[in-house]
Amino acid sequence: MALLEIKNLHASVGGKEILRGINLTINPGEVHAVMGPNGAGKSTLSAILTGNPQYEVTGGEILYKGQDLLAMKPEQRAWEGIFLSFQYPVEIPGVSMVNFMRTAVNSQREYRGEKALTATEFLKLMREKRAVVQLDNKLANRSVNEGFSGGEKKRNEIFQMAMLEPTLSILDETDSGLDVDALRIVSEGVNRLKSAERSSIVITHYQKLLEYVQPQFVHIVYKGRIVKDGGPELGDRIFAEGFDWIKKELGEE
Amino acid sequence: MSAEKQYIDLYRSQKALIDANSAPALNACREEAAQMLEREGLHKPNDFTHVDSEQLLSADYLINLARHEVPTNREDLFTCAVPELSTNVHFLCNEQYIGNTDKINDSRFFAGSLREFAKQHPEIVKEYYNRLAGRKLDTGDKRSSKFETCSPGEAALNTLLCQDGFVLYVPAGVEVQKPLQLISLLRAVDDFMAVQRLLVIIGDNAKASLLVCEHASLLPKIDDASQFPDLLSLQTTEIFVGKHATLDFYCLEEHHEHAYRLGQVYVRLDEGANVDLGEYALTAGRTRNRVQIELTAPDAKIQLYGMAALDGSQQLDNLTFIDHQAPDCQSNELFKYVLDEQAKGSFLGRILVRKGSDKTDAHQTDRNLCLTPDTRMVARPELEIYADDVKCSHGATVGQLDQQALFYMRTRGIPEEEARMLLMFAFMSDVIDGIRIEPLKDRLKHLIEKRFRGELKQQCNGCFTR
Repeated sequence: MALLEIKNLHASVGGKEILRGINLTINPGEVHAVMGPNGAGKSTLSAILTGNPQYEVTGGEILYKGQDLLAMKPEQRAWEGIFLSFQYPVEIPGVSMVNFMRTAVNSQREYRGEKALTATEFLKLMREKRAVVQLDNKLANRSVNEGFSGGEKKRNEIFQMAMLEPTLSILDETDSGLDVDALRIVSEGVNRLKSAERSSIVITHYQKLLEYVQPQFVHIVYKGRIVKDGGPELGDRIFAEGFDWIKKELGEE
Repeated sequence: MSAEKQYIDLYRSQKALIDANSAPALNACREEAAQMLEREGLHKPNDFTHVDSEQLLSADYLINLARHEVPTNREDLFTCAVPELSTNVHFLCNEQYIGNTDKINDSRFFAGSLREFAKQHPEIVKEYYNRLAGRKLDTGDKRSSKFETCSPGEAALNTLLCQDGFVLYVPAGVEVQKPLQLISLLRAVDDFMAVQRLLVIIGDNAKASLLVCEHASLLPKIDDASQFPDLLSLQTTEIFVGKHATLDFYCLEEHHEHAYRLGQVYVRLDEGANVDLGEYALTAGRTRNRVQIELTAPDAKIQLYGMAALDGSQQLDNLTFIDHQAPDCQSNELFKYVLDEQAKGSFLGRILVRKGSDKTDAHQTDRNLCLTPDTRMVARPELEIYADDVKCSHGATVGQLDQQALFYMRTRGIPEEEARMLLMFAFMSDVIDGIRIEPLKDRLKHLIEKRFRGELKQQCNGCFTR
């Protein structure tokens, strides 16, 4: 069974239609890259998958593990294993990383019928996963994302991903604003979580991240639709030539 | 007949009874108070606050002038939500001091009944009692705002009828190590007005901490909430802090919806005095707090905090006035409200920096969350500066929970209710972090969390039924 099936998805924000019929199927263990020019609808797709209430689904359906994803609340999607690494992680002053993460992990465990982690177990897990992305202990004791640099915020996203061990992770431009070393650390973090059951959607403009995570499938989103599917070679051509040739193929310009 | 006239008539006709159940040093101030009340009246039109004090004061209440004993057994009266903070717990039922659990007899200072203290030490009471509440403050400049933060009329009514209350008197040089706790309970079977008075005198170089817990009892035999008696607490608190003395004064309110509180706190700081003053409302009925702080000599320092978590039809107004009368003083003011359902709040914060108060460092912040469209919040910051070399700031915001933060938390699997709770708790954290009594800080954090989880009401009903 496919992990995720998006069928003819239409969505809008503030009355403006952004997605106009997306079709995408992802099987367990697959890594899919989603590329496309700015404003094509890539981030809207990730917002819809995670249930952002600011976006409205106007048509189509999404099946996740065979269930109606659109009927689930954002938190339930998380418990079912969906994770979004935000393009712009949100600062939450006054909520400590530890408290935030413990509440998240234990809510997930409760949903799955597992016992809550004790303080000791939890801190041990934090330590372990922090090491994956080399996130400073100092940061773990601060408020969520508050005063973090751009790179630290992105590493913090991957740290949270490591803590929650999602089945479907969506990386929304996780590589933007990262220097070479941070990109390597983040990519290694992502790769460590790869398995035969877990799948990823990687939204990116850059070649470097795709070199690290090596997607099997590449999709080009343009004006709210997937206009081209291919393998890694499609990504390579985009990096070499940009999107103009696709627009030409579509009969534009 | 106007409300003030009724009270003055009551006083005239019952003077002998009132005086007989009080102390000469308190009785000595009544005539002057009657004149002040007549002159000032009880009603001042004000478009910025919610609590209708005129209506509250016009209603008919029983007043316990004959000092009938209130049937209370303080040991099993109720459990305060801040238990075991210290060994020194004092009890006030309505206006009457009813004792303490003091296991250590420390004769270096006095904490207890105002009436007894006024009998034993009339000279001290004469020097301090009604010195701040009994006068109108001259703001020193005719351009200055005509808005009066405190109500001389309400204070005069308190002085007119006051018979007892609580005193903390710490002589010069004495450091009281353990925080003192005063549990103040409103309790009556009929509509009732308590005329409460607090007098706090901290001598030069002395040090003390006082936590006042405001409760109102629910009566177990009454099932129908509409049958609850209306309980009004008319409070006047005067606080004197001497040279280089330190005082922490926190008030924690957990009133139910039939309890009304009209409180005025007057504070006077001498040179180098350091005061932490906090008003924390976990629940309220209808409350108006007025706070007037005078920094009278150089290097005095005040931290003023206010917090309110309101829902239902609760109303809370905070009116504050910080008066910088001398150079080199600091004031730091932080107020935060979380309003839910149909709750209403207001914050009217005024800072005056008088001519010559150079090097004043004064900051005021008021932040508010309105969780539903039916809540109302009024914020009016006022900064009046007549000195040249000062550092002053103010900021006020009214907003909603951060929707992006809420969504972010939910995508991590934190349920919406829990995420909202965490955000509200985070919003309140800085107003609690400043508290200088550590166990109170921890306890308050715990209580706020319970409050936002909706567990506090139930617990309070439980502890009041005995």
